[in-house]
Amino acid sequence: MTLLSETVQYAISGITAGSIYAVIGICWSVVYLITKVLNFTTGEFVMLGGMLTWAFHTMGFGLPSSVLFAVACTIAISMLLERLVIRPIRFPTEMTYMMLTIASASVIKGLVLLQWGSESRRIEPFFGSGVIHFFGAGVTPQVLCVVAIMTLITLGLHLFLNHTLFGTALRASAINQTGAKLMGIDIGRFRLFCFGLAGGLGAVTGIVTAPITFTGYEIGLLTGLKGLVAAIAGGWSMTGTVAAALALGLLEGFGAGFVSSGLKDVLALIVMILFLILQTISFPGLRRR
Amino acid sequence: MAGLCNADVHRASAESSREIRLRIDGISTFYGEAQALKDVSLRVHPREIVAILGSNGAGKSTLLKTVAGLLSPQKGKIVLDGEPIEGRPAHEVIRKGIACVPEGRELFGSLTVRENLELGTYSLPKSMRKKVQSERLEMIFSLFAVLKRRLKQKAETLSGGEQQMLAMGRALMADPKLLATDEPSLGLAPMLVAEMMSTLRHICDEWGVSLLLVEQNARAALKIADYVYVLERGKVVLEGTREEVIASPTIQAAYMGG
Repeated sequence: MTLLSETVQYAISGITAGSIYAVIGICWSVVYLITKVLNFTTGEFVMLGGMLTWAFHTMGFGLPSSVLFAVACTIAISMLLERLVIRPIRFPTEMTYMMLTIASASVIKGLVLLQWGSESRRIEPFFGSGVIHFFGAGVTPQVLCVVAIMTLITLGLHLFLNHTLFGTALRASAINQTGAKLMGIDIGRFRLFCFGLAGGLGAVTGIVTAPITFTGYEIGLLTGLKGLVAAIAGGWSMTGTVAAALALGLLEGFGAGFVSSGLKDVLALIVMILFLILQTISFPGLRRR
Repeated sequence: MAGLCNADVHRASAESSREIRLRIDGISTFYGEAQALKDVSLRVHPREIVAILGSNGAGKSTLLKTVAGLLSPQKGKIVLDGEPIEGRPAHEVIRKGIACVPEGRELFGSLTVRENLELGTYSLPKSMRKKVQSERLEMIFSLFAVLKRRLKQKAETLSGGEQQMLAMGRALMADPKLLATDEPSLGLAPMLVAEMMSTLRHICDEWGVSLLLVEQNARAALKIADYVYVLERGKVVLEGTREEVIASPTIQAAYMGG
């Protein structure tokens, strides 16, 4: 392989990973900005999407219906989590919320392990397993599909948040909840919606990536954390999160490719530690009055 | 003598048959253990400006938040056009027709002026939003022309007075029956205070919106109010028409500087 083709190859895997982290990072920030819940089940939604699709598919359902069921189930689980675990808390703090979601993530992970075991599972690629060559580097149709879907989700969300009244209302609720209530916004329903949205987007991410990276009960934590790194480094804004996610993906891609593949996961966590030190753990909710 | 009696009876029956927009009956509101409102009752009629006067901590803002649904009264009734609304959350109260400009204005600082105004229509039925939006925007620009020039600016970049106008405009976008506003004169230059007061009078007379006006600036409020309640430590200590209240020695001494 020439240096050029290597570079292109690593860049492609970096952009692919980055587009995934971007969507997961958005899932973290949509929930966090509106509900003040630092939701550690975000990664588990990604895992559930892949695992449930695999499970429905092995039960004999076709791939499209398995995908639909998996997304619907994950949205339902996410909303139930908000209703049954988060909402009943009487004197909530960000810390109690965080502990609750960490516990819930463990429960979800444990149940999946119990039901489907610890093996890695794979979903068949959506468009066959050919390879497209590009500057000497190889790209599978699935990789293109991942990047395309992640891009569509991000653009779609951007349009929704900035160009619809409902989206503007969501942003308003993140800025000032008293003001939002006075405008007639039902914050309770918005919280539920945000959890549902994060569940749905997480599941879709888990499903489209499962043919490439395999899935299994334990993938949620690390996948989720990388999204969190992007959200933190991106300052919880949408543009910031996408930029940080792409940078993180490329850093991982080149780090793993040119230095050592063992570096891949370490790099993301080092970035997170650096950013947290730099910001002395300042989340936007703590900064505001 | 008999004639006077007749006149009195006539006035009383006119009073009772006159419809009441907002009726508050004996509400008590608590902040934790502390009782902020004690058995407060008041009436607002259609096309009427009712001013609530009182010093700091008298319970004026608490009263407004209770009416808007941001606080829930422990006891008592709040009735809007015959429908009880006490204890309903704020996002339902606005749908019933009470818009509120609270203490601190509660604008969406990092959203644009246009977005803030558009959100004012959120409580309206979807089918009506677009129509109301364009109509109302023009009406609001006719009151607060400066907002039109600031449409693309973020709300947090406006001056205090402009923010006050934006908060007022945003509340009016909801096409309310009653506007409850907390200290509209706060932070305004003296010349602008008079202008704001005449704007409020205009909104009431021309748009048919009743006003519940909380003010510390008694002098300004008394220029436009039809009826006045004075709160002290959570209780109504004095009420009357503007003329009655202006003539009252207590008011003269306490709020008008003698």
